[in-house]
Amino acid sequence: MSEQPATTPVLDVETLSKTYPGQRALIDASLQVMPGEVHALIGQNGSGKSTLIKTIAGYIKADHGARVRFNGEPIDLWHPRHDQRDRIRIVHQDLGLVPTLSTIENLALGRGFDTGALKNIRWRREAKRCQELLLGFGLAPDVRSPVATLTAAERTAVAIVRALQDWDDSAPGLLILDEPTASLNRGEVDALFREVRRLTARGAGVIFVSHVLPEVLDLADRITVLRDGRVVAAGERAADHDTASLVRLMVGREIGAHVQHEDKDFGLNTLEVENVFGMTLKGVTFKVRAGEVVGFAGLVGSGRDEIGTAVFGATPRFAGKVLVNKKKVFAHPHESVKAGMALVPADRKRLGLIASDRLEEHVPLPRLSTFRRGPMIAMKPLREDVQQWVERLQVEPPILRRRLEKFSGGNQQKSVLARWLRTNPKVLILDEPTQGVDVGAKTAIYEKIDEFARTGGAVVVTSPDPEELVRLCDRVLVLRGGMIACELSGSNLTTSRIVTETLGATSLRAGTRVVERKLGFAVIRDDAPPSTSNASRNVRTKETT
Amino acid sequence: MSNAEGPLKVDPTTGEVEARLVLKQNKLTRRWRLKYDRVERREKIDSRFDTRRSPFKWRKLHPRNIGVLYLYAATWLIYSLWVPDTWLTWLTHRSVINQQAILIVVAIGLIIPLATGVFDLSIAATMSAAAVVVSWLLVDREWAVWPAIGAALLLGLVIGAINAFLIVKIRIDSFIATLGMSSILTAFAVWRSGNRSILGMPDSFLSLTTEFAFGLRTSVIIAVVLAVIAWFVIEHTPVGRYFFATGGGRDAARLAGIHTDRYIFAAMVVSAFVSAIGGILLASQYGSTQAQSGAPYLLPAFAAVFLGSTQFKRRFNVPGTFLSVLVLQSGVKGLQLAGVAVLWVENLFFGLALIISVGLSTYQRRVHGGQRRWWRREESGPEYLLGRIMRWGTNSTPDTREWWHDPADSQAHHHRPSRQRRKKISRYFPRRRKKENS
Repeated sequence: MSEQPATTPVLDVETLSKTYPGQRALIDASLQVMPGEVHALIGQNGSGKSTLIKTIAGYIKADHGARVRFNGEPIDLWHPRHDQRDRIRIVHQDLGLVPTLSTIENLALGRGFDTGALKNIRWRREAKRCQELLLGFGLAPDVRSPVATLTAAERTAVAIVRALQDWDDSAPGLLILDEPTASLNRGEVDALFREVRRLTARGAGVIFVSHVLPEVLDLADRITVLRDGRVVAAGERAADHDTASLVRLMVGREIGAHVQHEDKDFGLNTLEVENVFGMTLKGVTFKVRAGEVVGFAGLVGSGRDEIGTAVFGATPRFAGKVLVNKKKVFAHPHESVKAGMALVPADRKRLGLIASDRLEEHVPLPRLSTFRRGPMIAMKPLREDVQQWVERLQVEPPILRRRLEKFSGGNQQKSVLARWLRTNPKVLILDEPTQGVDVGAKTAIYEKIDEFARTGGAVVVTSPDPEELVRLCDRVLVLRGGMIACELSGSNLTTSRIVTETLGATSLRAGTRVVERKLGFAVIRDDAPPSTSNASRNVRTKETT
Repeated sequence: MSNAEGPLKVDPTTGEVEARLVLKQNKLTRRWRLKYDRVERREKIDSRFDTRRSPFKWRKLHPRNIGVLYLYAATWLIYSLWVPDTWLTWLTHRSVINQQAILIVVAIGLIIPLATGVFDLSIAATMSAAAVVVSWLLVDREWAVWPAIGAALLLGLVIGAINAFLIVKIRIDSFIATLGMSSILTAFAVWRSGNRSILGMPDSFLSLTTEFAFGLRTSVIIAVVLAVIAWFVIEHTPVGRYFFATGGGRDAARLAGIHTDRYIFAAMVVSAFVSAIGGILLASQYGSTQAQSGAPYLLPAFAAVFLGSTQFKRRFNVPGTFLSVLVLQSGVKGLQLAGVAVLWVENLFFGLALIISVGLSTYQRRVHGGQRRWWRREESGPEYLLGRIMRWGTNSTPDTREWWHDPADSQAHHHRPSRQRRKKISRYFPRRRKKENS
């Protein structure tokens, strides 16, 4: 698709900033999408991609001073009913479908049903329309069954079809695809790309967000790279780039080369994980020695978000063993705590703490029995102990009777850490330990983790942030598709290596295996060749039944 | 730009800076701050509206903590004036206490599942079933007293275990499971009693709940003992902490290494067992048992526990429940003494108490979270309005609601500026004028 310099861009965003309390998610971002162009938006996790997308979609209001033009005319994107609402269509990362409604109903959301004389819904006509739209993707799912029962690929297709229906060609529109290919196989990706190209041929502009760099290079005409909220490469021609150059742009400064990892003498194997299977994990084996910090990197869905809870026994393990100090640990949090494991979960609000608890109730909850005096809790030693831990972790303010909901995110996380360090664990598992935590608390938490490792504890850290992993870990294991793809340590442990390796899996998409889960049975199959996606569907159903 | 809110400057190099002209000790000064400070400052102001810093100096006596006690005092005052000759007798209060003993027993049984985060709607039906079983065994089967009581208690345990099994193992929502169980138990009670009043229980059974001193029945002792045990377990043992942790967040508690399923199981069994005790007391105290004799206790028990949860602490607790039962029963009794429509007044009273208490507690919870609309703000609450009228705490706490007020500047609020100065001030802070008709 050749660029036409004379035409006005579909979307022209300039000096767009977004400030959250304590951090700036976007700093003077700009984006120009020309009609008939696929504009890729790439960047690491937390680089501001989603913020930019959500701002353009109008969900987030940008800071004062942003200039936005749509087809050359200034536009207030954040007005609840701006004129161009219908021209900006978005497919969200989580698709935004209502899982209990059928495909027909989902497509009718916001559009309305085709009704007859008595305002009755013309189900048959609607169903036919949906089926025709979906056939464009080479799919023929049951449009009357709830969306939750469809496969991931079918759901993605429904979301895209919903965004594309009633597309108006009279003036160029804008389609935003936020990681649409995450759950598609090669053939489905091809079908999607065909649809996108058909759309751009009609003059629409497309913003394409993806982690899969080969796909980006395949589809996009121009590329904008975001890093730490700033645009580092604005609308560069995709033809001028390759995977390596894009990774370089995304990562920017190299961290790791100058972070010294002194050669430590680690102790014996404290944690041994053997061939663990879970919802997304497919046989993970690793060992953590005393005093060692092992990190896990990976994209969403690679098993990175599950590994911590699976090892701890909070989510079910279908197979495999976990040993702490050579002793097998049964897959239940209670057993794990008894064996000397501790988990700081990623979902702090829901799993890490009980918001209405007071600090003095929260910290001693695991191993409350240490304060038993007869049948009672001895309150005085308990308070003294909690006070000591609160001071050691610098929880601010150190008021024991304060409810956790009133603490800031960083202090909540410190209190969760205090709770688990108090149990004197042998293995500390941290899922995204600095998620939603301010910079000051972040360094404090890093120091505590370092200190814990120095005193001979084994630490497992998962994080979407490669800098954090490089800062904390002695060794980083990269997960791809539920399996450990490679191990990085020593001079290999750099941010760019982590990013390259986490993305690596997706470039090998055709060779990976897809797991689908229905009624608790895992159906593992190899990807079908691109042209026969319908045939592969039949194969899958045969296997499930 | 100079308007009523003062000039606002944005400095792009240092991040946004807000500046404002402020009257301090009758001098105009400029106050500025980084825009990002606002969130932090807001939090600080919010904590001012915590109960600790409320206009009431003595926090323990704050109406939010023990509103029921004030309500009780008001009840006494009103009925002493309304029906002095009947209200101010020991006989009245004796009967209130005797009647409430059974309600306290049931309510205390109910506290534990509610604290654990599960509903038990089958308490009333369990009471009926236990009462019917014990009376039927005594009258129709002519069992001895203690075996009959033992059988009724065993029934309670079994009911609790079935409830718990449905909730923990089958994973039915507790509300639905116990509602269904309640209906099944009612069916059982109707079947076993033949839908008639069972009369003629032996004296040795009836004498279990005779009066022992000051006209108080033995059931009062049982209620008090159970309450003390429950209070001790809930407040002072690890088990109580685990109950509350499970109720506060089931997943979070599980990840903290607590066997949440076991505690839910225990809670359901305890509540059904205690309800069975209530049923036996019911049969013994009234001497006649019908299939539905436990039913009137369901709503009052919930009302008392929820009203109790707004007292003393912001969670379910025994002393609050105890006090709530006393107050609710006194309120009803007083109305009955005054001769107000006896038939429906009790239901109305308990219904209102349940809705108001739960409404109040969710209102309180919303105050700190959610959008701060003016009617949700704590400073719009009744005691704050009262405090505003009575000028409580005005001398000690200057108005720090807006960031540009300096809390240390105590002079700011006590002197009205002179006429000249007011003129000058109004140049910078012009009064809002009505729009002229054009």
